[in-house]
Amino acid sequence: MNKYTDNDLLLMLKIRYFELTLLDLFSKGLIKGTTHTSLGQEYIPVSLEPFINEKDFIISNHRGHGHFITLTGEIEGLLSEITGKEGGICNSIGGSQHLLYKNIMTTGVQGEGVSIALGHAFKFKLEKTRNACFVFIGDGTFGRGSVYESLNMASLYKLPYILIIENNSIAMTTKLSENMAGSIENRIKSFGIDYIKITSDNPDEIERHLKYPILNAKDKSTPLAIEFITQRVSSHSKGDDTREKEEIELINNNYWYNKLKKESSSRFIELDNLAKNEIELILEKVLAKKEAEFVK
Amino acid sequence: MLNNQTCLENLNTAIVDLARNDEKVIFIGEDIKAPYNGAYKVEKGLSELCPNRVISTPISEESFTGLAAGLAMCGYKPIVDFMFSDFMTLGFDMVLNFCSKYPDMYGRKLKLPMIIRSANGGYRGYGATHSQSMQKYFMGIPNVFIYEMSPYHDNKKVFERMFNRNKLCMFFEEKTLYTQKMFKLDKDEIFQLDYIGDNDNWAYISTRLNRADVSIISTGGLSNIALESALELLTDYEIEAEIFIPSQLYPVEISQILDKLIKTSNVVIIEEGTYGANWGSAVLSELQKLQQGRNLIEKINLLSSEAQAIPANTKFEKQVLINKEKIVDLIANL
Repeated sequence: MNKYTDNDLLLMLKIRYFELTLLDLFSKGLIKGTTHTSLGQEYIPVSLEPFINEKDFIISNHRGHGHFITLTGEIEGLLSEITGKEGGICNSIGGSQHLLYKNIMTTGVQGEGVSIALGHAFKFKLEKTRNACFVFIGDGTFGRGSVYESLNMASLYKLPYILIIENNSIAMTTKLSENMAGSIENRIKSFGIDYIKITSDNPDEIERHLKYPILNAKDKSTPLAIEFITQRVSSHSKGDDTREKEEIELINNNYWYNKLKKESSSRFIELDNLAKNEIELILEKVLAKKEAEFVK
Repeated sequence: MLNNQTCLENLNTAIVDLARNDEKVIFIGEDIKAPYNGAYKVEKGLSELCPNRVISTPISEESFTGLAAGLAMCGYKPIVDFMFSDFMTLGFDMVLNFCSKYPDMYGRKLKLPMIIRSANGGYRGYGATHSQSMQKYFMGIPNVFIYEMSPYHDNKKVFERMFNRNKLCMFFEEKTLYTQKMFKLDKDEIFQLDYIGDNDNWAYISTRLNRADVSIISTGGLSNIALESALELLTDYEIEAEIFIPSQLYPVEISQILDKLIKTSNVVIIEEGTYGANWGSAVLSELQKLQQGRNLIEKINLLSSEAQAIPANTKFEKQVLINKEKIVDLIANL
């Protein structure tokens, strides 16, 4: 197994504990509504973080906590947002799915981000700033027509448009094989867009594959699609997992966290505790805060 | 000068001026580049003036609306052209689930200066899917404002007003108006034109006798039909009608003309949209709210087009759409 760097691992662990904290708060009835956790997919934003600067724009989706935490570091603000406490990054109006902070935005409707991203990428092209708009979608989003409209325009207008596909092979409860004819790769390539497939879950290794293609997309103003073959360890939202026990077991055995836990190196245990404690402290602090006030 | 312009010339001049004076104004839509310049030539001159800011798109309404929203987030001022307003349904998710939400959803007030404009309405034999009056489908959406072109509202002022909202505004252009002259009253020895309300929102056409029996509230697209109806009512029935035409259809700002409506106590609201849950209903609801159950206006009638698909055959189309005969008939028999 490739060695994860301490920084990458710590961030992945923080995202994991953040998501677990949310599931726990839900089960205790301390938060309402819904949430979609990124357990199993924590490494994806961590792999991309080195290539995203404060002038790029990022559009994420309903499963966006990992992206948000990686790119902003605002764990306390996000937890306050979701728990309805003071200091939420969107004053508790956005909640889990509708976040906007600095240069990252998330929306709750599948396939909206792909179109809005065109506008941001168009601005970068017009102003020749060598930035890019990064937009995160899942395999399920490929059911939406806006994906194809947007890929066509991104390629047609030669936009610095970087599509990140997190293919966890399941859309809510429907498997990819029951949702999609053909393949994501062929669909992307049919628009004349450069395509990279990533199967690793080690950010350090992934970064080496992505460095030049992302620089190229920014420098030459050209679209790029990166498909991560990944897995959703948790349910879609809270308790809606219909997968077979054997399948879930297989996924769990392949989960980076479980593999590292099995090895249980002293370095891993140390980082694991560090991340867990940090999230616990933030939770304690957030729960002690006053309720958010409705700012109309 | 202004008086000799057609509505199309006035609209075209307005957007060319906007593009010239503000480098953030950017145009998006199908077939809008030279030499075609859009299906109704509204974009004429833009390709020469600012080619980088004229984005000709594929038939991808949802995504080019998203493209516009993204640009508006970045401080640009997109003007999106939908070739026929019937196709606005294809951008509806972006309108309702993004443009309407964006100003509030992220917990602070955010600006989204953006205009969607489109050719709208019937009377030209285009058939069921190219003739509709689509305004009603976009009313009642928070943070979305509905405007309509009229021969009595200078388009440059209207477009500046819409951008000053810093929220999504939708602008409807009756197809039959494009070739009509601006600010023209058929019989100006009989009728006179005034304005009422903030931003001159209401064009007010009254007779020089100023003893109106009935108040007609009309959308901009029906301006000419309303005026012809008023003329016929006067000459054939000796009924004097006054006409109110707003630039901003929704939200309805009716309080500014309430005094005049109370004076005739006889209001007829006309629109080209289909019957039911339409603009007239929204105006009526505002009137009820303002009257606070006091019944200050004795008679309020709504007239719209029939609730069925618009026929392509122009003789049949005429029967389905609102027209002068229907308006005169209703008012003469009140």
